[in-house]
Amino acid sequence: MKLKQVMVKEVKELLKERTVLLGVILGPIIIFTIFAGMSMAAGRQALEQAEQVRNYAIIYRGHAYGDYARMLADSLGVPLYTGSVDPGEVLEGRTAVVIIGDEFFDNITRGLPGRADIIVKTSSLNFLSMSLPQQVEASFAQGVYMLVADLVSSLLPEADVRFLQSPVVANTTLYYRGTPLSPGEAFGLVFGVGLSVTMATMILVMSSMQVAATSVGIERESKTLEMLLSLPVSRRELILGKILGVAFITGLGIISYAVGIGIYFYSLGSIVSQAPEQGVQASPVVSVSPTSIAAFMAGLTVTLVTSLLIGLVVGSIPQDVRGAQLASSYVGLLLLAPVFAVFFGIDLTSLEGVWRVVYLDPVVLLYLVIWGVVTGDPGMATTGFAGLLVNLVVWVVVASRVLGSEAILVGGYSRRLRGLFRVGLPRSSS
Amino acid sequence: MDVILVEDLRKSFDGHEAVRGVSFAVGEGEIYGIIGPNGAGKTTTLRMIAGILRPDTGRVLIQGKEPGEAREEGLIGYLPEDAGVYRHLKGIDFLRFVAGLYARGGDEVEEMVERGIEISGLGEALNKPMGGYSKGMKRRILLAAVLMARPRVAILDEPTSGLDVYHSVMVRNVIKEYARSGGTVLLSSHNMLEVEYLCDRLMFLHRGRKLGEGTPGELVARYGGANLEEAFINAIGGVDVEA
Repeated sequence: MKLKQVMVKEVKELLKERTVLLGVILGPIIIFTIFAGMSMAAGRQALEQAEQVRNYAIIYRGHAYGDYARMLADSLGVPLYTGSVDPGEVLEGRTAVVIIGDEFFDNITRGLPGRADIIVKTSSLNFLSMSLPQQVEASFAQGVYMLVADLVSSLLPEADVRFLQSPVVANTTLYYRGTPLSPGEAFGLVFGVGLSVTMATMILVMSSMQVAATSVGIERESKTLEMLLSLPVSRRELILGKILGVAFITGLGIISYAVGIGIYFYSLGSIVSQAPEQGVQASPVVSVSPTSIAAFMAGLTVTLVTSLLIGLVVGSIPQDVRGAQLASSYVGLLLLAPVFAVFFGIDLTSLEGVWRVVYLDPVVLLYLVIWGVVTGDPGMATTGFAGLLVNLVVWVVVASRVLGSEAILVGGYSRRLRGLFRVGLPRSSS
Repeated sequence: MDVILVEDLRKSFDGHEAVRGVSFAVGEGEIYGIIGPNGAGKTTTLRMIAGILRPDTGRVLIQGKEPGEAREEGLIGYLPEDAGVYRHLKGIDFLRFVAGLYARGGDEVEEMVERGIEISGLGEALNKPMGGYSKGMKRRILLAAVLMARPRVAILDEPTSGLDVYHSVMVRNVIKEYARSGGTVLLSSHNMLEVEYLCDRLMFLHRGRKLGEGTPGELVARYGGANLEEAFINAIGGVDVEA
């Protein structure tokens, strides 16, 4: 009986602790709802891509096997072009074009895998679109298999049919916004930019928000804020001093980041420089120059200053350090969520309709800057940077208002957001 | 001229009126006390006078200036009731930080810090991070930070809150000494004996309203009772056991 009373007391007490409510009970629902949204969007994109995979044409450049080429195209249900037609024209309105010649059928008729060039066009580059060339190749290979399996018994009684397990050897090229990329290059770009650089940036953004939120949280928890506000210093100087102090700490992070990313880009550069010697064509899409690094660092700096302003604002809502850190973690997660969407196959560089709302997110804007810089797209980088500057101005105004208001002292923001975080900075105690 | 002038001060939070038309004035070198139970509006009143909160209506003048302006000019020193300290900052560095904001020159900083060292009486402990200070030590370093700059007005919210008898007496002596040197003190307290000993004049504050004002002797005479405590209880109409 007493056990029950103790347990009930404990449950009531913990449920009133809003950090517990948010972190333990609501947190998983929020996180998984976000991921569910991403998965659904990614699923829709995968279905659309599956449709696209069938939307390709065959170009036959030879003369001797015209009938076979026609039969192959018919069995696949795709158009056939012959002669010296321009692949670029054939690609208009299509996902891919498969180019084959007499050598392809020479090999097939000798029981060897046929050689084909597959050119795939995509306007977005992510983990999903990266697999397009393989999917087109698989679709084409399936058609070859079906054709040969029908003919093999009558035309090629002596053929070694084991080659049918893999009837096509394809040289695939992915055209991303008009620039050719080998599968390795596409993977490097998506992995390098989409994962390594972005993840490192996300960690730095989260850290800055945490530092800023902690700074305000410490002032409130240790009850030093009221005395600080009473000292002979203007609110503007106080806020600016706090921002600059936090910015200094973040600056140390930026320096560390610059060194780290310098090492990363240096290693990329050394690999790229070795490529021609190894007979590998270096990708023209990866553009790493002092200018691009400077542009990237400028974008990163603006983003980090913005994120620390957001951290200061978010950190001023709860009463203590724990609450401030939790709040900044959740807001950070919301800001980073769209970038996670990249790993679900969603292209952040070409969002449409209501999804464009995520362009208000400074982390997404930084992603555009990174992507624009690395892929040599100055338009995208400039758009992202302009968005970041607008974001910065907005958050400077918001932070000035929040930190300069008396609500930060008497818990006005907490009361307005009651129910979200543990609240209750000393109102008037007497 | 009154150093502190408060006229018809009002402040509400979420529809609850914490301070309801409070007016009073404090002269130079005077120690003025505000007495009231928890929730009477003492802290809100002091915060408005210190320029931390804005009144809904009414006005406060510190030497003829708005509180915000007076604060920025260093005319006000404020000790909040439950103020904390920066855990990783040494006591001496904290005094230097505050002095740097009040001082107009480098020499003045050192003078203020010397005074702060003396007022705090913390000795060698000043060279240690304040996170390790006891409650009494924290209160003393904060009081030293307020008084070392000799602001025209020292606003002290429960200055001896949480202190033992020895340190309470020490703090009271510091406040007396500060007023003798021409400083004006506005303080709040639950401790009637302390208020009776320290204050030249005082005010009873109850549920945001001023009930009475005068010297401790005048108030005891007006409301009756053996001492200030009983006079206060009489002024509010007896002890409300429901409150």
